Amino acid sequence: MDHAEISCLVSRSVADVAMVCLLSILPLSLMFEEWKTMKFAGFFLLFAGFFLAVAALVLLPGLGARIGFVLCALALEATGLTLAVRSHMAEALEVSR
Amino acid sequence: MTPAALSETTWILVFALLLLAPLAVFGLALMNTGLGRSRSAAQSLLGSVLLVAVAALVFVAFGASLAGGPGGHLSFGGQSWDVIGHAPAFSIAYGLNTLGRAPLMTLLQLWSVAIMVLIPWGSGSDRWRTVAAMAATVFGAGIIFPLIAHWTGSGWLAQLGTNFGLAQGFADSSNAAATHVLGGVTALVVIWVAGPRKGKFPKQGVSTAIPGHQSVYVLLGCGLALVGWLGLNSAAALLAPGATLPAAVGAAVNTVLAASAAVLATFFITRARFGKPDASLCANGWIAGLVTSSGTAALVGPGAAIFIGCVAGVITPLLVELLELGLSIDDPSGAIAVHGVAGIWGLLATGFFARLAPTADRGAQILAQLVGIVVLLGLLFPLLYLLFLGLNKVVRFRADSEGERMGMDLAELGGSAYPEFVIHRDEFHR
Repeated sequence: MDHAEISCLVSRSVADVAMVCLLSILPLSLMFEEWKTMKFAGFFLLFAGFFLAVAALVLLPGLGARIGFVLCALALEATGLTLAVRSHMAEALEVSR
Repeated sequence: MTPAALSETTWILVFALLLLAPLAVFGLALMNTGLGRSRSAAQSLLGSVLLVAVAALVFVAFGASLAGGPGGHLSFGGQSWDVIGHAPAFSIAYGLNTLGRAPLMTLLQLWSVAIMVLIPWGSGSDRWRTVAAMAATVFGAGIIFPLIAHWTGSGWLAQLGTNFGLAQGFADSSNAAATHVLGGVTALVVIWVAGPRKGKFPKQGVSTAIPGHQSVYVLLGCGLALVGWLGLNSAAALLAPGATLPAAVGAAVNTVLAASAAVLATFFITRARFGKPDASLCANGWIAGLVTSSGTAALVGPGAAIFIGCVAGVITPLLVELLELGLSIDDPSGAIAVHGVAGIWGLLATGFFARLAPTADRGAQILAQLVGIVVLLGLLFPLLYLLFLGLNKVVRFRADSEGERMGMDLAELGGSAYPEFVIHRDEFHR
């Protein structure tokens, strides 16, 4: 398996993880209030970041590609954390009143 | 010196240094108490003692065996992997009477886990029930801390160097990942599950200031914490594979330098922002400096320690403000910024500033640190949130509304910490 094939495989895996995350959010949105759904969506993104980092480490051979993918994973986690924090802000206003 | 064998002199020195570590634990307990309200002071301090007791029992019974040291190896994919949980429960406790590295590592981790469980306790101040915190501590000390301590100490993250060619692998001088990053993440999760204090974020206007009741406790806690941190960081430096006795001095000097740079940076930042320096934020800056030293003390030079501490001292007060005013996160002790963020900064900075072998690649070391941070954040947040959400259904985290209004001392202990003081009407409840 050459470098291009591996990169393609990793990209497809990331897309799959993102799709699973999005599909999982739909049933959750029916079960919980809006802010709770957002928090769970954030946690899915955090998990996705974890798997992306591990996948990059295992599948990619070069240092540059690995750093790139791990930085993407960090960005994904930052997005997830932002979603979770935004949902908390909505919740905090309700609880604190 | 091999990882398993220590000279008698080194063994005695490390043991003596580890006997200073409880000062860090109870320094943090004092700080948590001082940063909370007076009507929850006794519950806070008693809770700290109880949490340390639970953590000690659970960790020695199960956690230490899980965290373990190198020993259980599995060959997979042509590489040798150090596996978790290869020792049966209680086995570490029974092996304490040897003159090797293992009992000292157990003692080091015991104090680290005690610090870790106190970090969220300060963040849940004035509303987190003691019994619920004890239940959470069982999971923290028995499973989660050992898992992270194993991964970063001798497990797959530590082996990123040998198994993935990433320089030294994930480098963490003194359990900063398992202690401070885990503690900071747990603090955020506890705040999310328990919710903010009543009246903290009113419907209209900015958040209500609920100041700590005793700055003297807070600043005294800082002093005690320094002594404990010196013991922990110096002992960890001596326990590192291939360490020599002078390593302890370097770690101790770096610890003091990081804390000093951090507190001065916080002093000037708060002075510039508010006109006068803020005592509790300066204390937070001091601890943030100590936290960065947990990740870096034995691995970087003095100049780097000053820079790393200085950055932590700048970001800590700004972040404490942002979390409260911008993100509605009610963290009375500032643990998320002080332990979580400063801990992550220390670990990241290790990648940039750690002394490496001449053949090692700096980029690879930075990548190893990044992988460790991404793994910790990506895994810990969701797992801890789901765990504590479930635990909250079994043992309610938050005190009832009346208990919270009266204060945790009266609600849980039936008496106040300061019975001769007049309690003011609670202006925070509108």
